[in-house]
Amino acid sequence: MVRYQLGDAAAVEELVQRLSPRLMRFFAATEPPGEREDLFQDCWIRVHRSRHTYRAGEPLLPWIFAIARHTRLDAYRRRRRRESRELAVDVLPEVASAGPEQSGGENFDRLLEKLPEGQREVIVMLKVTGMSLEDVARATSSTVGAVKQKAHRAYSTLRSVLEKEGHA
Amino acid sequence: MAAEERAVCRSVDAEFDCLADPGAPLSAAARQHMATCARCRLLYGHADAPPATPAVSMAAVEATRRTLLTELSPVRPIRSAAATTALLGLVFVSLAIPLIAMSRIGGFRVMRWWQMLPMSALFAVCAILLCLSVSWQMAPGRLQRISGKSLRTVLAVAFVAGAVVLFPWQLQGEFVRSGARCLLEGSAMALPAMALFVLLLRRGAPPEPGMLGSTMGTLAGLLGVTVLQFTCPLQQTLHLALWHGGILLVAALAGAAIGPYSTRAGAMRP
Repeated sequence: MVRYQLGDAAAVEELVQRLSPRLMRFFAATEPPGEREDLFQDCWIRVHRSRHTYRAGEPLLPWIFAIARHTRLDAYRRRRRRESRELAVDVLPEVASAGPEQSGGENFDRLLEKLPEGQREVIVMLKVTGMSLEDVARATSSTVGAVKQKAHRAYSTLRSVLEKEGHA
Repeated sequence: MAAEERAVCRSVDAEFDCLADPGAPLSAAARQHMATCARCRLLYGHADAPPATPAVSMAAVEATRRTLLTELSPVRPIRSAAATTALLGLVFVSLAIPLIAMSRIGGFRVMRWWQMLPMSALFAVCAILLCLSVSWQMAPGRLQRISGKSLRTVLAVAFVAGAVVLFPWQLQGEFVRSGARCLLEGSAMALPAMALFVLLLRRGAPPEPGMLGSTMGTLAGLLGVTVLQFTCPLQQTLHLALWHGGILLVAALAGAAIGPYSTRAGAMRP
């Protein structure tokens, strides 16, 4: 990242190569299929514009994911605004849900959809992108305690959802 | 599901709840149970087996790389959090001392040592914490050991509690007129501080610019309150809590309003 700040083209290549799969995994777990690539590109542009705010010696992953998180939040707000305007003009016909893709019988993504936004985001960062508690706290501008609490609440919700579905 | 199996599921739940990090792997016994239990595998499976990476289209990666390389130029990184904290503190002190020296020092004459010491300590601790919080918030991905919102609440509660416990309740002089004057003076003192803070933070790209602005405003407001504490002759509970405390509120609101325009928050927007 420091080489990127110095304008090294090879560093850009390496960074994009190494972090793109993780970022894509994050967007895939939280966004409808049609919007993932747009958000992915938007996120990289934001990373580029705010690259001067990376402080050498600090962990890179939370810095990148804090930007990815805000890319998502802004897209979510835009989508909500657009939807509310569209509904005000006309009632749209019901369309099939554009949720995350189904992958086999065990679908963690389908379960995640049942969680509130904040808890879902924390679980995606912890479980899907493999970040540590401290990294998630950094990325969400929160404290480790708050992240831990959200994760435990999320798991309580998931357990009760599974119980209702007859898994326990 | 058999009662015995349910009991094992509950024990896996309990083990998971006791983990210091929810991303940490479970015990061998729990993993053995997960191999046969669909419910536990679904809930905790990701800890052991990371999910398959979704394919990133080569076109998207290529377009991203091209864009970044086209706009690539060297940039100067922002100051470290410690340096930013120190600079903010320096601005606070170098404005507070001359302002106290230039104003009438009524507060010093009216206050006793047991009032002056705790209030000074409160202002010093809050100023340090606010400086830290501002420097944490100005860049993405920084661990915030205390959130800006909690810090503002703690400061307001501690200031009002200090005013209630340490100062007398009786009223002297014209409550509204003298209070409004203090509110105006304190807010006016916060203005140059806010301008200097904006100058220091202008290269930041805060994820939440409103929150950063509000914390910065509170720090500027605290400067006004600190100066007034040592210069205002009306050291009474209601006057302090309402009019001096009001400066914190006014400055925090003003900071929240200018926050999005004071930094490069636009870098975080499309």
